[in-house]
Amino acid sequence: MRVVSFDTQEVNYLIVASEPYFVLRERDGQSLVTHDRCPHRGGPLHLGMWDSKTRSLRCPWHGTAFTHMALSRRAVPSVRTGAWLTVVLPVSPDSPVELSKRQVLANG
Amino acid sequence: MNRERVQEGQLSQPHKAWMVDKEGLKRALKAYSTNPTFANHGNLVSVGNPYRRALRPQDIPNFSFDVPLARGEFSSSSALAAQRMLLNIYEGDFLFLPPKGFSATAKDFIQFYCGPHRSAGESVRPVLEQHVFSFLDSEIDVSGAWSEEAMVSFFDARFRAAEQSSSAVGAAILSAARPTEAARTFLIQLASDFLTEASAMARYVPGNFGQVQSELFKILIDEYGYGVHQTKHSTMFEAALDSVGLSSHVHAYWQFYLSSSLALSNYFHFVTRNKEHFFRYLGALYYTESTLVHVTRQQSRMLRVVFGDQIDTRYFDEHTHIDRHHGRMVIENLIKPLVRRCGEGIIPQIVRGFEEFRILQDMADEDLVAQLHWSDRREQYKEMAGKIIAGEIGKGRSAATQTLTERSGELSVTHVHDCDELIVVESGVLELLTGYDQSVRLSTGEGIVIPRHRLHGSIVDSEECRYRIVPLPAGVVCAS
Repeated sequence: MRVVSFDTQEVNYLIVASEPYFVLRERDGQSLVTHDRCPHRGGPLHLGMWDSKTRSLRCPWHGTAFTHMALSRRAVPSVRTGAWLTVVLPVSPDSPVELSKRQVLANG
Repeated sequence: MNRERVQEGQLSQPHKAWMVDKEGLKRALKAYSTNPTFANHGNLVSVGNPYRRALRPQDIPNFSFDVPLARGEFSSSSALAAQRMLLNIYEGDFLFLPPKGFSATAKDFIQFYCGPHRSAGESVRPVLEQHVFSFLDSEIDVSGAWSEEAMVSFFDARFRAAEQSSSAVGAAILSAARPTEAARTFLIQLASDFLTEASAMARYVPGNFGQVQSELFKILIDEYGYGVHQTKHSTMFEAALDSVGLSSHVHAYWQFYLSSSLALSNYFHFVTRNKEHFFRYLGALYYTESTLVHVTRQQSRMLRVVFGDQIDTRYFDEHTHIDRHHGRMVIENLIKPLVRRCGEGIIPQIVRGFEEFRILQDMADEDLVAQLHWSDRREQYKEMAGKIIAGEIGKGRSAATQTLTERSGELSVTHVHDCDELIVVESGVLELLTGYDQSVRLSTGEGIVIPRHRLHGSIVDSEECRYRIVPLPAGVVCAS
């Protein structure tokens, strides 16, 4: 497994061995690092909208909704300490990881 | 899947059956803090009486203990008061006896352990715990689907980073103008915990939780030297203190403990006293046992540089050796078997405890470095005060300025302020204490700047002393 740490003010998007992940931040400070592809047809979940009432994320392509619990089950293990996030990625330690910042609509 | 047996979140939602109300809290705090054994007995060091632990009860009503502290208030006046009370409450579970002369301390013995006193302490304990530790809830967030492999990868990455770091505290001691003073201050901070070492761990000896219980007990018997008193870890630490001329009596230097040092000790009490935090405890235990291999090696080396052959470093050298085993025992014989038995849902709690203690240790190191820096440069802070006294601020008599008159020998129990302050002696002589055996003598017209959150006390060294305390606006100390 590969462990990566970064400042969430500078990074919210990861490409790990060609697989995309993004950081979803909730208002209470909780964060999840979840796969960016919708399991339905591969829609970009980082462009989905967050519904705070139902605590769910809606895919921008076909409207599939994912509850916080469902997203948690898909999320990679992570630890946020202040603004820093450490994630444990399901790849070998020498796998390439690209870190960047993108607009994540669900984060507002 | 194991994760579905114990879902994340179930472990972090306590049942809130009862909590003392505001009025009840006030009454209980008053009852607890005004115990005569916690009064100002006029001694800076309490040798031979483990029950005398000055609390400054006059300050207690000024604090809002029902409001959680933010990370930046970790060393505040309220934090210090709460941490002092908490350690006393937790240590009411443990037995202390003076090395000799019990009859002279018998009254304090009863007052420290008596039922009504402990009952008052128990009713304020949850509030104080929330006050000082709940900032960790917003500071740390563990999420995602954890597996045993992910947990081990995370721990290993943290250890690799820790092994590459050097000790900021060690560097501060070695670069101090008075390194022996600084090293003694460091040893005094360790004494807050090491003289009762593994007492918190012993709270997990009773009960019935299978093979893991016996594995934990094996670590405990190492800590207790297998019943051979000379090899008990706390006995080895006593030898280290004795070798450099410090008292090895329990909490002799109570007044010189920083709140951040007390927090390290209290955190382990917090997660062992409250059994719902067992998994957090295991994470914190794994962090400390594993990093101590590297840390105690550095500490032993630093202490030998400072004290030469005089210092007995067996305590530190023993940990460099045995904690290599303890780290392995915690992960292989406690954590992994428990994850397999209770499910991966417990991993976030284990990781959280690991991370919480790592943060608390970093914060305590920062706080100690700041204290060492200030005390080592106390003459410079006296000079800085001279410049401020000559200016407008020094002459100021705003509503916030306090003037105190104290008699010969009067001790102000150590404390901290929540803003930078200037002390100006108007008449008489004041010995301003910046640490154990560390002070500045201030005569009429002289003063010192005390940065916020720096621990200090004072003793009047003239028939009478009149002095002024002037809060300084933010930025004055930096600019000076």
